[in-house]
Amino acid sequence: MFDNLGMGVLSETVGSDLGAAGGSCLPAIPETIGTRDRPMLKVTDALGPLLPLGAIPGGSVVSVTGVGACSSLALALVAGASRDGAWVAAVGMEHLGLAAAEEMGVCLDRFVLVRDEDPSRRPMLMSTLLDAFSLVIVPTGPSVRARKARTRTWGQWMGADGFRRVSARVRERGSVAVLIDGPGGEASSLGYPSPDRVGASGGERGFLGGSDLVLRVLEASWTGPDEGHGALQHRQVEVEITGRRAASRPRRGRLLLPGPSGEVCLAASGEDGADARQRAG
Amino acid sequence: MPASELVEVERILFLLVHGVTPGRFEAVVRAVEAFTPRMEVVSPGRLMFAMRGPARYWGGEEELARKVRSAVGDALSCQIVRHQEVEKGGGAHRDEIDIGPERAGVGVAGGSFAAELAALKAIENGGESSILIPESEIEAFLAPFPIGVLQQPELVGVLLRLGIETLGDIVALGRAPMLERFGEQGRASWLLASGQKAHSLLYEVADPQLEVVAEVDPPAAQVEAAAFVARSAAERLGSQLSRSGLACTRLTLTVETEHGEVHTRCWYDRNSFTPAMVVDRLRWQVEGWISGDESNRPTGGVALLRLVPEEVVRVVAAPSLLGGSSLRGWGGAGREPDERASRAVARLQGLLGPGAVRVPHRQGGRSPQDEFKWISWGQQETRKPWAPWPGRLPSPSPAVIHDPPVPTEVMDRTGRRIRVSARGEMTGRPHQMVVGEARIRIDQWAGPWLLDERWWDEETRRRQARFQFVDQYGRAFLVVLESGVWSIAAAYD
Repeated sequence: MFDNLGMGVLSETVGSDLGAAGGSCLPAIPETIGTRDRPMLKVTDALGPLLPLGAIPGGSVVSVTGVGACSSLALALVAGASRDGAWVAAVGMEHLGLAAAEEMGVCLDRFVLVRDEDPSRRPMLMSTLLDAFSLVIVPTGPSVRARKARTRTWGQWMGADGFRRVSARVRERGSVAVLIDGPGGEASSLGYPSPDRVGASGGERGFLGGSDLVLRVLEASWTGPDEGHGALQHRQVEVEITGRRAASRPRRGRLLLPGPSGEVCLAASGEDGADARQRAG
Repeated sequence: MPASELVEVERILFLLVHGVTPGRFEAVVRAVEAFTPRMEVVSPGRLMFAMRGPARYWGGEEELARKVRSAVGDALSCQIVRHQEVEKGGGAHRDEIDIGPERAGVGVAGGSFAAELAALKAIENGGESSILIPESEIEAFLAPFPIGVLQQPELVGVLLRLGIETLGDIVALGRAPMLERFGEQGRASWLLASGQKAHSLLYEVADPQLEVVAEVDPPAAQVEAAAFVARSAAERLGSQLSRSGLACTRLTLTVETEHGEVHTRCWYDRNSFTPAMVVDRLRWQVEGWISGDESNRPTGGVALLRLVPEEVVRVVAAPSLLGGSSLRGWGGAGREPDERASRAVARLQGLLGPGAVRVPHRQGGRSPQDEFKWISWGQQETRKPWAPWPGRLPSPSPAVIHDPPVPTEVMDRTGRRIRVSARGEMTGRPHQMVVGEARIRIDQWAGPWLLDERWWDEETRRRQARFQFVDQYGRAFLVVLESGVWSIAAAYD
């Protein structure tokens, strides 16, 4: 069993009501009631209210998918635990922007990149990493490199028997696998799939349905650029959280990813970047 | 191989010679060899050996130290430069004995750390006597030394800022606080500072099958050619060792010439050898051999190199306290998640090679692909102080970097390619981006940010116009125009 470094322990009881159908209002932050023998990985304040248990339960597979912003959302998701002392490993993500990771709050001192060249090594890689790292990030979306080399993508491997292995291992060890399933990664500018095609490919592979938590970005919009003037400042995203067990009732929320501080923050209903700036400053 | 923890109150004699060349040091090494077969050269000018056996044989620690010091003095004074001055009018001669700039000191104490400092003190005192520190006085001896002697620049930097300046200050702070605050590095430093234990490494005697032999064909008449072969031999040895999760702390290097002359030297480094370090030592060794005692000089080129690891250490990486990680075998208990992570990394590197696991290294730059790079876990790079570079794009930074960039075309509403002048004037407003078969409508845009790097050097000059484009789905891209060619450098995924 993991020691508690980097993880808080929260109760399973969610102390709030999601609210009526209508979906986009944010639930209150759940209270901590007692402890159970189950490690939880902390998340930043902004994400807590969106997650059914206010944190990521150890032993979960989390998929991040949607029209875009998946890499940023995945980074924001692991930032809380990372800052708290947990180690994060990313596999096959040489394209990751480290400045962005740092801005999202990831502690780069406990962040490693593992090369992924030989698909036959994947089972060994995943079990070694999930044994030792609290969070392991894997890109399961379309991969240009895989296409060129004519090898299976991580997504394809997951869709076959990979997912079963990964689930089993995370449950055994209490670690968390974060699958970035969106059109992000190297493919985000190449072979540019349109958003309506993205969701389908994840579903075809079947593992989205099997994930304990699915964070889906429904919409994204930026404020900042203005006909040549200005610059990218804040992005508002609408996120839907679904999954299994406690997460099976869908909830939605609006986030600024990034917000004024550079990290993810909550957007109040109906708010856009400009309001957030005013609120912050 | 059985592992045994080194009992580190071992009495060590440390010889320090300042200002000596490898050639001159060769004579010194030969002189000390007469006293003990098992001696370790740390670098030209630094050698040490365990006192226990030799001291018994040579009549006690003090006696042995005195003998060594005098033998070293003799070896160094081989080349005495004699000046003769003729004074005007008087006709008197004056001999000036110049024994060169070298100054030697011998120190004896428990552990190599304290013994080296004792040797340093001996030099300061004038070098004629040796300094022997009894066990009971070691803490008092070490206390006034500045913390820089620990040779841990990051830790030292932090401690200095906290007002901790001497080894005595570290000891006063306490072992538990040092461990808690600075992890394994802190604990080891406390042990060193209090003279208790130099290492908590687990040493093993190496498997003899790990030796690497390299032929140099044709025989190398130049040191550099031998160094080149040594490098690849060392890399071979290094990867063999790391496959078993080991690093080498004591290495015997044997150089053989085409005429069968053999020169063997045992090298030691508490921090374990890298290929570059092995190459340095080969150079010192060959230089020393060539320029050393005339009766012993080689007469032919180097034909064979033999690298034999004598002592190895289990590699348990602990992250250094200010980030990055080091493959220094600190061993012992650190934070559990850190330990777990390092063990997994060691295993993966063993199976997949040293480059399989990398960590971020901040290097600074004006473009997203320049700011950070990935370096291998265990690779040491100097950390530069980070300050934002002028001309750097504003945050937020893109989460995905395309390297190489993705070619694209950026067009205005009429379908014409957009050009940007050196002053940032555009021939139109960006309307559409074409990537392969896809046409992407540009709904929002900002820029250009002009970049003119190394404008003084035509060859390496880099001039770019950078833009941020947002498409209809809210996806943002960093798009660059350079030498008339558009490309997508990064995506704000």
